[in-house]
Amino acid sequence: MMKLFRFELKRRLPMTLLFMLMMLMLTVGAVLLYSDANVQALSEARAKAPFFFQALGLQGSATLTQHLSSLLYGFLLPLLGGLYAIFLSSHLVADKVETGEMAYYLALPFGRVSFALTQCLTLLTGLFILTALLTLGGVVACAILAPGRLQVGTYLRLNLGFLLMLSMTSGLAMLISLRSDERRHANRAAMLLGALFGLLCMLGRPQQMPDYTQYLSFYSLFDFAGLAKGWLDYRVPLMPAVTLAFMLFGLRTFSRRELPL
Amino acid sequence: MPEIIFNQVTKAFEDDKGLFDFNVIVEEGSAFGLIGPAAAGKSTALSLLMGFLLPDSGTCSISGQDPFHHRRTLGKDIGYVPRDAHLPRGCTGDQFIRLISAVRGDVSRKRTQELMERLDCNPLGDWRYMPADQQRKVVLMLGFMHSPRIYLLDEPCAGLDPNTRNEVLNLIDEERKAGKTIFMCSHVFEEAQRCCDRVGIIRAGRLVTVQSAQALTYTRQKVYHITFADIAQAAAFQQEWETGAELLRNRVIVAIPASPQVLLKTLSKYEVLDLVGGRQEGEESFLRYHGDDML
Repeated sequence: MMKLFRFELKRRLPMTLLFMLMMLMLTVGAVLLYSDANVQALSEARAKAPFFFQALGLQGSATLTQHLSSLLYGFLLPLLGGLYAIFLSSHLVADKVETGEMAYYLALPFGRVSFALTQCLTLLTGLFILTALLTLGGVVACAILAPGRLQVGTYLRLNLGFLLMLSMTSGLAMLISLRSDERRHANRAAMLLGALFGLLCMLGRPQQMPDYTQYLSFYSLFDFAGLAKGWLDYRVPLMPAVTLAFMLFGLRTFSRRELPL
Repeated sequence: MPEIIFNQVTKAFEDDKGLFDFNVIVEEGSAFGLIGPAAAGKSTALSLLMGFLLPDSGTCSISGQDPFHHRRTLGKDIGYVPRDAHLPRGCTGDQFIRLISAVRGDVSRKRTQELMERLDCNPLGDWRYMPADQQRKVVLMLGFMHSPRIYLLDEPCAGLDPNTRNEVLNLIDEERKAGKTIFMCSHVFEEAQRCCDRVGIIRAGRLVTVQSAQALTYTRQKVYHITFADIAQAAAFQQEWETGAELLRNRVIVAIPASPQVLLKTLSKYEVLDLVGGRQEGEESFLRYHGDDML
């Protein structure tokens, strides 16, 4: 199945690069925005509408890493990365059921679980490539546009957290894709659930909200503000556990369900 | 020894379609053709054998194993040709053939080359822009290239030109003679007749009859167009013939099974201007006839 893995990965490379470029453009834009005047303006705006800014994760910008984390990792990059994970996962399974392509793979002397595991691995590798290139691009952009101001170690930890957060989205999207017979249905359902959990996560961020609201969404495990300050806590290893749980549930469903082929 | 068994299988879908009380046994090394009109349940039978679907009741097995739970072991022995299955977008037929060969690992290059030549298959283009017959040839290659022990074929000749169709039927026949087990679905009688030992007719999800391919040939009706000298004679003949005769002015169309001896004897009493006949009736009417008769 490694050949199928390589085949799929190669086919999805253009989409991976497209999303990476979009995310890198946002990163470059955020680096360009990093100036004392802009940080001050952002701070003043935050004071005027704290609920809105806290919900979007737009917090303090003491360092360049915190500035990037505040501007991008609370909403924009998770949104784009999430879309990538959703589209890729629906292409990897639901689309194949819809077009009948799945019949060829299931006619091979491998179980359904082997096939689904290969697709999960392809998805996670795609996310790794996306995040690795984005991180590399971000480091290079900072070295050129704001030399010496990026704390590389902290930035790497932030992106590791981001990768783990995206893997949770991909786990959810893969679970839905493994249960769907149509790509559009899989995309819609994953976007809806992703948006719902994203919204719950955002609602849990403002200080005015009750404490328990922080725990309503699995996305709350991605503490981008803490990671930008160099903190690593119990939430980081919980993220792959959530991903694993989603994918295992998806694999179980896929191995037992009927396929309209 | 039975290779493929359907034992009282029922698989119902929401629109009253599916497969009902389906019983078929295909012996090892024999070929079974399932023929029937569109949406009769032919592909459902194959989907059950491929383990894509689970029966609502009854059991089906290949080599004594349940296809839904033993795909891994059965996959090596089965060559599957689906009816409507696309290749990946943006992928050439050649790329996909190479991928499946590599994943299978038991495909000889010589066999692939031979098949490509026999089917006149050019798999180099992008799947989306390939003509329908070339797409079909690629799908056939994918099912045949690993020389499986069991073939599950869903309309293998659909969309092919007559020459390739002939070649595909030869290929299936060769595999049958080589002792492979074949379960083939088609809506074209000749295809099943030519390649199969036994033919089952399915209608509205129910198996209407199973006969040897040869026996079915004799029971198949032939249509004759008879032109009489005048309308009166045509009407008189129609009255005498009684069943299955359609009057069109001075012309009568009759459908009769087997030998035309009785027809010729009856016609000797009339002035016949023209007799065109012996053509076997269309597939649909053939199936309709059998279906109405047997259900």
